[in-house]
Amino acid sequence: MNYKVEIGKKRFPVKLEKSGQDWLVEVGKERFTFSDLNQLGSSLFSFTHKKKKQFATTQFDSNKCTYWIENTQVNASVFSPTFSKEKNNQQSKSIQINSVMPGMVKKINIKVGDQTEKGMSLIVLEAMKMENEIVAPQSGIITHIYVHENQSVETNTPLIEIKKSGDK
Amino acid sequence: MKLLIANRGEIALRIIRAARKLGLPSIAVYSEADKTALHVQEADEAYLLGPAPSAESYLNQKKILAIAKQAKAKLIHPGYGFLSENASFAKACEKEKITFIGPSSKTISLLGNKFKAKQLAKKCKVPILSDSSTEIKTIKELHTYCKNIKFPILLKAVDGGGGKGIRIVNKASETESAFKLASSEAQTAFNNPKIYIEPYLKKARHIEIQVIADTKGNIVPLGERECSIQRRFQKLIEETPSPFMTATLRSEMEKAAVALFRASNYVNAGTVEFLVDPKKNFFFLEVNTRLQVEHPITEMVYNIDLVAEQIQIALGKRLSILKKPRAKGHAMELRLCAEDPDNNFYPSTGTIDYLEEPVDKNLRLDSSLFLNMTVTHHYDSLLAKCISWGKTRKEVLQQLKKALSDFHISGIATNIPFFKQLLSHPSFKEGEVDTQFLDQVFTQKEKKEQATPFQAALSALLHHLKKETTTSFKDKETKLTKWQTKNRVHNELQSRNWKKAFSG
Repeated sequence: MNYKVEIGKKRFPVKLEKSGQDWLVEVGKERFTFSDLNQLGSSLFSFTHKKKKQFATTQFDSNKCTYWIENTQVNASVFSPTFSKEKNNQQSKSIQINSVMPGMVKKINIKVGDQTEKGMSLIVLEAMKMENEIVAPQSGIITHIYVHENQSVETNTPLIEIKKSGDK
Repeated sequence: MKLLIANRGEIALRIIRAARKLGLPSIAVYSEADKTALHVQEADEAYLLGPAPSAESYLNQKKILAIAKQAKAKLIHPGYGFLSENASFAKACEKEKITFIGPSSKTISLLGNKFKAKQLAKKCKVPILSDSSTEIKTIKELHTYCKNIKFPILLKAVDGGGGKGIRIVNKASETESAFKLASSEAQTAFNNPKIYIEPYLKKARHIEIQVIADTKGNIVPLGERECSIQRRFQKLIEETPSPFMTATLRSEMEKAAVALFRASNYVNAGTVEFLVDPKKNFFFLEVNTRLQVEHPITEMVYNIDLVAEQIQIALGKRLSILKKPRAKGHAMELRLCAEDPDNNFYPSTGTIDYLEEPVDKNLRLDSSLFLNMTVTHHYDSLLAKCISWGKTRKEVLQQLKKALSDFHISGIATNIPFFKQLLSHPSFKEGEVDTQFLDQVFTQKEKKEQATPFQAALSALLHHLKKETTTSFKDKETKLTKWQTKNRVHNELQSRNWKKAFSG
């Protein structure tokens, strides 16, 4: 299997190969061997590299792979050759605001058709006893509100759609 | 004599242990979200309160009192948060002849109003920060007040506590939105939207003094806890002694705390919070009329069981110590929370599908974690407290580092990776911190090193495995029983270690 990995501004071509119970991984000219690979839980892996057992706590979001190993956090993007290039949403005139955390919609400060300014408070979310404001990332007109007050939401639940000002 | 615990999570377990030590049967109450929680399993009796939201469960005073009467409880321990600083609940207990473990409703209501508490401090000649002379109810009042004020300021809930209902205002234009948030949060948390204003000290440490007092008039201070490592006014790490403390400053602060206890007729355990500036001037902040989350570090260093002490005081007994015991060694606590370090430390929810907790000689783990536990957004994000005792601060840091690398949780995001980085930060290692440290000095970005081929190799491998195993993961269930047995052993070891730490 071939992958392209992006970490920060660096790009690496990566080749994975299973050999018995081990994984051989080639990155350019360098080779790594991972053995005893084990997925312990939905977000936790353990493996042995250079005779040392290590744990990686992970988070995945489509092609994004974030993991913590010892003191280091790694934020990588992993592309397979068949994976279509990152969707380019730059053209879109509307932006959808999703919930950044699980919680409850405490208050909705706007209604459909309202003009918003960048930084304006749109929604107040309450989670674990703290209130957090969702603010407008840009100016525009509210075209959709997907939630109602007192509704429970998960991370990435769509909340609001804003149409950029000046567009039809 | 039965003791009802009007709380959940690790603190409910902590109180059950103290009750058991004193030979008192314990009664747990729980919400529908906590049916399988450890405090429900561990208590001698358990009663359902109602649906998950706090207002319908752990804050439902009537229901809690009805259960207490039905189960013939003579004592109620409120833990921290929820009803612990609620004067009307303490009063309702007094009326029902059930002993509320904490100060009297009168003392709670006097000190619970942060505004009145400050005036009392002033009377006791305890230094305070200058502040607004009125409680502020409306944005109009605030605007009038802010006309001739120096920013930054803090807006704080009059009935506040636990870091809720507080907002920093750096400039006049931020006032309105900060007021709305602080006031609405205060309304939800404390049922009182009023706020007051305090100047915001940029370079200050948050240091608090633990005090215990009995009905016989004995008042004993138990040193300080350094709590400057905070995010959004929530403490994350506490330690004692404070690396900043001197014997003179400690004795002055203890004297001030004892004076406040005396002036407010305080009986039971409580904490006086102060801000300390770089020149070692201290200013009174507030009194927490309850057991603090971070009480274990005081227990480790002064070799005292504060919860058992609280229960004995409530039963009218004399303090087990009549003067301050000698402090021994150093202790530090890390608050492990369900927070995502990769998403601005917002809460993380989910079901724990793998759990391995650290075990060590001088490590105490006050934890509510168990395998298959579901973490919801209804309650505080605190999952467990990792408390280490050592002869020196250095020894403590080493032990905590090891504990963190032996701590494995899967299924939710936690702040463990953040603590790993923080414990290695040079300023933190030296104890050079203030309340702004996390927001201003310590940023994880700073720690980011150059990407290596090894990191790329692992990224691709993990991504590949994740793709392969998303569907097959649930097959692990057969292994769970084995894990639960192991976990049970862990818990027993924990309590054994803890007992040892107490007797030694």
